[in-house]
Amino acid sequence: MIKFCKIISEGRKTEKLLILLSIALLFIISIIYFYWYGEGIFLYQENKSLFIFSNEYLRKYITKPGGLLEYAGNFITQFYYYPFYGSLINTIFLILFFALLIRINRKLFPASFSILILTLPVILLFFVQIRYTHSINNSLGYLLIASCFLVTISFKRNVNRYITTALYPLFYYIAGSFALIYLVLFIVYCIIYEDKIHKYLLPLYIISISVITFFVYKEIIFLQTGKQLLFYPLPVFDVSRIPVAYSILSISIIVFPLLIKINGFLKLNHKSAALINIAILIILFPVTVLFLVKNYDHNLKILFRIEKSVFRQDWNAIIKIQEKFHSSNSNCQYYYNLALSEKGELCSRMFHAPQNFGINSLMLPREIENLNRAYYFYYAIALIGEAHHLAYESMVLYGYRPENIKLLIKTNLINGNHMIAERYIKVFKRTLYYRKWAEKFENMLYNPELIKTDSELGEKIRLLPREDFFVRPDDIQNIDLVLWANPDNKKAFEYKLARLLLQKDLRAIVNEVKKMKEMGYASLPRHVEEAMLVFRYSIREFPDLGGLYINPDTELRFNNYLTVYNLNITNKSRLESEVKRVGGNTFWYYYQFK
Amino acid sequence: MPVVFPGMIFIKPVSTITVRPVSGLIDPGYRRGFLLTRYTGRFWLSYNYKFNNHKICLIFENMNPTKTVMRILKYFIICFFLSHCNTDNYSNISSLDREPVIEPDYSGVTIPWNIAPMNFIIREDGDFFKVRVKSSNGLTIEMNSKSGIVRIPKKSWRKILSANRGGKIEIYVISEDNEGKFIRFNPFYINISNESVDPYLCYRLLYPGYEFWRELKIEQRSTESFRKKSVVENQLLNDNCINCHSFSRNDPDKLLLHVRGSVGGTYFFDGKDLIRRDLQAGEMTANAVYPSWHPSGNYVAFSSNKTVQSFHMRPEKNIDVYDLYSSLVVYDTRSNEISFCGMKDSLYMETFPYWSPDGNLLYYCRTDQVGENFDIKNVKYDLVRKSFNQESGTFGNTEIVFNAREIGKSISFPTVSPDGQYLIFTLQDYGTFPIWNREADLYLMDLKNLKADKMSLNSNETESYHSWSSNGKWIVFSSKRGDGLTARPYIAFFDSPDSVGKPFVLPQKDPAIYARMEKTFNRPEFVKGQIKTGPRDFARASKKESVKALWANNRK
Repeated sequence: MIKFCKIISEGRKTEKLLILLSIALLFIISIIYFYWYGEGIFLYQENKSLFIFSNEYLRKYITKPGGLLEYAGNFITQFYYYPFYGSLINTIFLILFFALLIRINRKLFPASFSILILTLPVILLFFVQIRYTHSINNSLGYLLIASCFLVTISFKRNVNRYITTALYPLFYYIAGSFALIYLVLFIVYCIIYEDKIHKYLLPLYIISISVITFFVYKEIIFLQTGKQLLFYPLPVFDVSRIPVAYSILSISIIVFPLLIKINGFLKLNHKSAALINIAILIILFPVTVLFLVKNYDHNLKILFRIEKSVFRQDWNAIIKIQEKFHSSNSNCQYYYNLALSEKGELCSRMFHAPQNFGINSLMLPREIENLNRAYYFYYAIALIGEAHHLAYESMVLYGYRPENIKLLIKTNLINGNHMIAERYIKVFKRTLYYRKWAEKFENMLYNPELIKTDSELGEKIRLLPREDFFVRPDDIQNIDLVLWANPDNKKAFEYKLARLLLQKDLRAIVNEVKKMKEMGYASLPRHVEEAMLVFRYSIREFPDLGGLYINPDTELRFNNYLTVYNLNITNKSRLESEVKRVGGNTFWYYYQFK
Repeated sequence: MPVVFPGMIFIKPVSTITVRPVSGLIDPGYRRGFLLTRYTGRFWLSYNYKFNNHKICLIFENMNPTKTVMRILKYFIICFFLSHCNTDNYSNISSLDREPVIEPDYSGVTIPWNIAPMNFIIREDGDFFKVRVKSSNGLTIEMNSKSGIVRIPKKSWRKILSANRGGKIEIYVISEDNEGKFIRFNPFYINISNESVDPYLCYRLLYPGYEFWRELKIEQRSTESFRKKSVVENQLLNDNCINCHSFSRNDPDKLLLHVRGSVGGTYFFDGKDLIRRDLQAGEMTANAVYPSWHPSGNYVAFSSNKTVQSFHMRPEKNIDVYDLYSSLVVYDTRSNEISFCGMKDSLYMETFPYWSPDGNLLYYCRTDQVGENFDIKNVKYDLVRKSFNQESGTFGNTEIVFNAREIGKSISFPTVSPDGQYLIFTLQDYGTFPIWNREADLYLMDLKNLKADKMSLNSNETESYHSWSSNGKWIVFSSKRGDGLTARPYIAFFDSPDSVGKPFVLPQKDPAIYARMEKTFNRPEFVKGQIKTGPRDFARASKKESVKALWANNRK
């Protein structure tokens, strides 16, 4: 204790200790959070863009201020392919930001030291980084602001400060709208820290430069609107909707020099200052952890885990996750049904997990926000034209993304458009992590026989519509048309059965069951059997099973289910839970309670 | 000497230059490229390469600056000397009795004497290529290429073309493999026409998408060089859709185009002012599209169409775009009045108007009005025309020019040559949107006898959106012959129905760009000069209130 008191009485040493402690805590919390809980952020971000090593890709970004920042961000984002790299990158960014703030503090007011002032912007950046929509280029933007500010204030001679300020147009070009945050920060700094005439001259000087830069960029150099020049690449384009977290973070950076100055004037003795800082540290980091825990969205994590498995076509994993967590998210249910379809188990397993959205968990509504997910359904039922159409629209609207390019390669190979498939394969060949994926399909180029022998593409070719038709806005009609154009398409047929099950249309299911033996079914899928029993029980009519039979096990389960049901029929509060216990994963339960 | 790790390029000033001429025997120790060696305990980085059939070995090592500069000077003098040596002594050479495969295919094409350098890629095996462009009057251009990409120097190209108008040039290609074996191919020829082409080409660049768009622009590209400039970009127009640019007789000072969306309207440029007009007036139930300027510049004919699209589910075809109804309207640029072209006939759908050069006839396509349920494959358009009285601004009777339905086909985009003698149209199996019809081909009609024949410039893929140069000697059209999806602007010489040149794709600075480029070239049109307006002017015009057209009584 005496030793501890001795240490805290030595100001500098305490500062160092506190800084090291903060860095260590920040590192541990950040790496643990991002690696174990933030996997979804990396998946989402990595799939939002596709970094291509080409001049054309670069050219797209150099034609607008802030474009280079986005380009750099996209370059970094590609490493999110591995969550460990993602965690490391995000953690390094936080520590770098912290280090820059410490340096700025030392330059501005060496005698002023407050762990709260130093860590607050860093923690705010951390909170911003845990949002899955946060692009790393925004973190880069804030780092650039801090670096540039540090460089500017490092010059002792005023003339050098004027010279560096004259480079503002370059900074604006690189950082885009982040330069505006820097502009306000610099003005605040000048008013507080500069002496005599420079207090007013420097702000006037930088404001003049920025105004001129804005008009030169707008009217002469770049084909950008004023709005684009002012707000790109800030997280949200419309200023009125800039998320609160970004606004607070930006304000905390802007007032940073002011807070340092105020803290410097407080003139606390070393001992009490150190005690306050230790207390803050003790409070701040647990609060941070608490905030992280409170804001952690488990459902979102499940969705991202499922989505990751979709991208890797790991259908077993999707089934396992959804059956374990029973997510109520419509996309999770959609992917679950997709995975079951790919495994050929849609009508025998779909009620093992929740089906809360009726047919919308089989086929997503045709809305723009579903564009990047809807194409998997069409691909699953071999409606390749529509899968290609949506993947192409996604590419036009959102640019190259790994998933839309993958689908464009596959659908073009299936449709025999080898030259176009080759173009997209070449895109992947110029990426870091998708080269290998592309190589498999590169071998198939101009080799239709090889495509037919491929387990995935070959199957789709066999299921392709044999007759032409126009796709309809209603997917129920589309499935009927697919089956009309190729009656052997079992995937589409099971989607139709699944739809009828979800709509509880027993008579329509009976009509479909008649065809199943001819289609090559040796037995009825489990849920279809269950539906047939409900039909028999409720309509009092024996359905025509077209030569197929109901498994005696199913009959037994049905009897058991009925027994439990009849036993609890008088106790409504117990009825559902008891029935769920014996038949929660059956069509019967869905039929009665959903 | 610092430590040099493998893969690290460490370059120091040039100290030694050795020049060894190529003989019949290849030095087995010779290896092209950078080489890091250790000699007498020191590292040496050398760069070996060939220049005009001479092996050059540059050795990089630390030297004093004066000596270095002198050495570099010496190097350039040697290079200059070597470049003027005639070194056609290939003792290790074999010949292939065929032309080299090049991309784009420029072999046997006829080009205007003022066209930009026809850069190309050699699609042959080889580590090194030597290319010689030779004319009958002895002028030559020599180039070397490691990658197979041949970029012809602009000045030499212009010189050789100007001096050989009406003649032809031969292009020789020799390839060399990594063992030093040379292969000589048969030369290919390019015919040079006496006729020049308009100095600019204007086209719309977009993704060949379906429902959504992101980046859209109309660009003007110099046909004499590779300079290009945006005319309008949708990013300055609230990301609206832009389409249907049209010039009056290839005049850059008489331009109009449509913008659809929040700043929508038809934008008219008269060489000075850019005005946004709202042409949808009176009985028009849809926007005005497919404009055609009257030669006087006083009228513009449009069709007003309700268009929809449907997606095919067989791989052979992606999409069909078709009209549910359409009618012709004419806009008077002087009075700002718009009206139907004659009596509106609800029995027919009319589209693609095009004025004859004398302004007395309006050609267009027509089919029966479709009902509620119809099969698009049965919708076939005929080519018709009606007379026009320029004095009174009224239309006469309609006559059928080409009955396409009789032969089970459909016509789109009639365009009359500037001399009024010929008409080119697109013929496809059905419908009104040939760009998505693989079988769509260009047909030439002699307007004296109204006989039409398929043109020799067609391919197995779509040909459409054709237009004439101002002198009527060149035709530009969009063709999807490359990959079946993206259209490229092809130019063909036209002298008479029997003398149509093999078409060539618009040359590009980077000849490999077409293979990479995903955007399609839509509606290419020749322009007689540079368009003196730009995206910012459009942005400014879009902020002004649009001038509403007045609905006039029908021009009967």
